Amino acid sequence: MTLTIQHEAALEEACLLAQIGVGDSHAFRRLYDRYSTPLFSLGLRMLKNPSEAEEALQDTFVKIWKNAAYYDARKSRPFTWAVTIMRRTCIDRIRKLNREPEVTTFEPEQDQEWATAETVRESVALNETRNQVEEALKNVPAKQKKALELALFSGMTHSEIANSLEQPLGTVKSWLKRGLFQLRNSLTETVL
Amino acid sequence: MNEKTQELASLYVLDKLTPDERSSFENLLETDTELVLLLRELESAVEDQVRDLPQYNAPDGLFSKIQSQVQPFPQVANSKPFITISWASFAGWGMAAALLLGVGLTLFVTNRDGPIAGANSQPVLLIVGMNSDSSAFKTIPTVIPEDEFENFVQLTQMAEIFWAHPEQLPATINNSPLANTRGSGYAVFDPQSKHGFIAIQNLPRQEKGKNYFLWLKDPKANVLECAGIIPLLEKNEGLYFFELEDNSPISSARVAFFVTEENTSEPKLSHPKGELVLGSDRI
Repeated sequence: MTLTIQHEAALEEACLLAQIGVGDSHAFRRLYDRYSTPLFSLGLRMLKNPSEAEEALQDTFVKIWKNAAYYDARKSRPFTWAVTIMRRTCIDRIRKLNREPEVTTFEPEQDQEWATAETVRESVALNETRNQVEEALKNVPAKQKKALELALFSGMTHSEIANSLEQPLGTVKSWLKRGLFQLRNSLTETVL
Repeated sequence: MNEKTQELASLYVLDKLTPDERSSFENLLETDTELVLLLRELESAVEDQVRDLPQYNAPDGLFSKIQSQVQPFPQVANSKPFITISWASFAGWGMAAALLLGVGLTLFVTNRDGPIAGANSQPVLLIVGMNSDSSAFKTIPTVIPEDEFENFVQLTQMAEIFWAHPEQLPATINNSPLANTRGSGYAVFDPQSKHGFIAIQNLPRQEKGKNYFLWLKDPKANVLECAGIIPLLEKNEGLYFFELEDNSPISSARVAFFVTEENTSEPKLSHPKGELVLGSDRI
């Protein structure tokens, strides 16, 4: 059922992108309502600065507006497409700021800096997803989990990840693949 | 699927491929449905990771700032009561969704072009092949979908199959309806949900100020409806989704589809005035 809901949402979002592609501002607002919270949260994680995350989110939505007409559903799901734009925008900002990509993990308590009753969005569905992901992550070996975290949230290239973890590039690529497949397998099992 | 391809899929999802590697991988996606399905699953895992982060709402007022940066918003034609959107870039989505949902190809083609027995209880899709001066019709029974989404996936899947393999279109004109150089196409329409697709190829490019309009005629109810402008933009082909209002008087399982070229940009017309360029209003 979760898979069905996920894919139904993806279809709706693909339709929204098609409408945005022909200049539909209402569809743009609807997509913003769906994506702004997770993308802003991703920006905070990567940039660790609310103002920077806000600017990155602004740039990201301008790019979404300009490029929606070129979105290709075969190449990616709509949210993945938006996440990729946000991540690239954050990476550009990290490099412009001449900031070293972060190696340390982002501990939950650091989140409290921006957490207020008004800003934290919690829902039953979100908690359910979080529990599923946390369960799935338990099955991913620590090294693979670390590599995945750096790949997703640090802005490092895989060569930089290899240097950071003091491992050959081939090993890191293999860890990324195995970690992601383990995560996917565990999540699929959780859903089923 | 070999280990190397799996690794490429992982790095693609994590956006860690070089532009050349990325381009080569995307070429693989054009033909390898199994790879597309794997990609969807890996993407889902990554999306869950992002949604698993502590969630914070974006600052108030940010959308207004974004709006001011992308102003002026181009004004689109009023999308009510009809919606017509380009589907060409989605081609393949319905197939992937159908496989993931286990919907499969649950349609079967009958050998007759009249209404099928029990059409009132058995959902059908109407397939119409069109060229520049005629149409051919076929009704295809489907299994009863579990929900609206499954219904939509069936419709999408069918439209995409014919887009990729026009030779499989059951409603044929001159053997291949897409071979006509003066313009050709097909429509796939679900009379129950009133959703449909129109595919067009080789239409002459629109002159400035002119637009192609899609029309539906239900001879049984003696109703003509304009489904709006087909947003071809600079192209002369494409696959387009459209949706009629729930209360549309188009109600029978046999509907004529045709396209006219009109000298207006009005979103909706009451009657065609321009030249018929595709299909026929006769069944």
